[in-house]
Amino acid sequence: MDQTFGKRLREARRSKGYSQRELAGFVDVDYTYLSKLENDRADYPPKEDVLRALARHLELDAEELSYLAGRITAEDAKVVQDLAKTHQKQMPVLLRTIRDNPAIAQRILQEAQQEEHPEDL
Amino acid sequence: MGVIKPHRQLNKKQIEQQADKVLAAMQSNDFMPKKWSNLAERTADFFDLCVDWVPFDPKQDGIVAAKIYPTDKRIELNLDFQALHTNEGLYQSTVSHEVGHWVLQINQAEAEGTIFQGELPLTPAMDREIFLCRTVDEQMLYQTTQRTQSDWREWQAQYFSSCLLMPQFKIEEARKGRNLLNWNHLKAIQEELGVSQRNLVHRLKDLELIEESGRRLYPGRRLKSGEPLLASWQESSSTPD
Repeated sequence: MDQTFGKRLREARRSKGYSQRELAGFVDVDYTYLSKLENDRADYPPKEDVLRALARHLELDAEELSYLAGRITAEDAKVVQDLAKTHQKQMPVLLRTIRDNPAIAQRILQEAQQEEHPEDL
Repeated sequence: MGVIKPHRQLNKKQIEQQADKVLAAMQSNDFMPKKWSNLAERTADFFDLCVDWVPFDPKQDGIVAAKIYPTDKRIELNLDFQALHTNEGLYQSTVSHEVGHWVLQINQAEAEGTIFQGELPLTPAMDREIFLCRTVDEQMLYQTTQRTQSDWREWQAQYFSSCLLMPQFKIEEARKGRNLLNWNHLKAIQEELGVSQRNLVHRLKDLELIEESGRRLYPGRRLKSGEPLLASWQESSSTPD
């Protein structure tokens, strides 16, 4: 997947005609941090309110932007927290496996979809 | 051919034409900034050059305001160079200086990888060749003792920056209703264009609008004769090379 959060952000800012400094001012972040985001070098993803403001000013889908930034929704975060509580030892192993082996992740997703929508089979 | 073009001796007129052509291309692609003081960044965006603020290593780089990595299409600005944060004119001048290197001295197609290396094989070191801008000293425009190719490259990039940020049509527009011999009026023009006072004064002197002696300003040849500057960049950019 060659579309990263930084690329998406930069493309949108360019097409909107904003400078980094202007956009940073609109969303109330430091322009040097925005440059890091655009270059996919930021140490931490933007906060939820910054993401929403970026999406609003750049007319982007906030959820898509959020996922590209490596953030998950509050609802999804709750699921992860619940799983971490009940499967303390297995969760990190599972997540690392999914990260390192996208084919496994794809298979799990397909199986999950089939369980949710058996009529599609 | 390599990523960096062989050294060329470009005169002021040739450099100004290049800057005017860039502005004309931006205009025809609907890429001009809403505020003129954002021109430098907008020009970097036009060429798809990323602007990135990073800490530089003074031991390795010396005192460097900015660098351009041609093959990465990235302009790096020194995060710890305080004046770049506080001096709008210096910031604009620095970014457009790096754009000047890109326009005048870099084989853009080669840097973007759209054509292959023709003659000598690129070594990894050449592929990552960068321009270090040890100083973005606007005084360098007026030095007459440049000796090395590197000095000339810096001079060309800085002169390009000055022409880009202060094209003749924009100076003509900005000076309407203003007195170029009044420092307060110059300050207003400087703020409108987002350039430093020294850079503006140098440009006005170069265009023979004013002369300066100490802190006093006098009318230049053009101001005395009432000869206008070019009315539009199309007029200058249409001049054949």
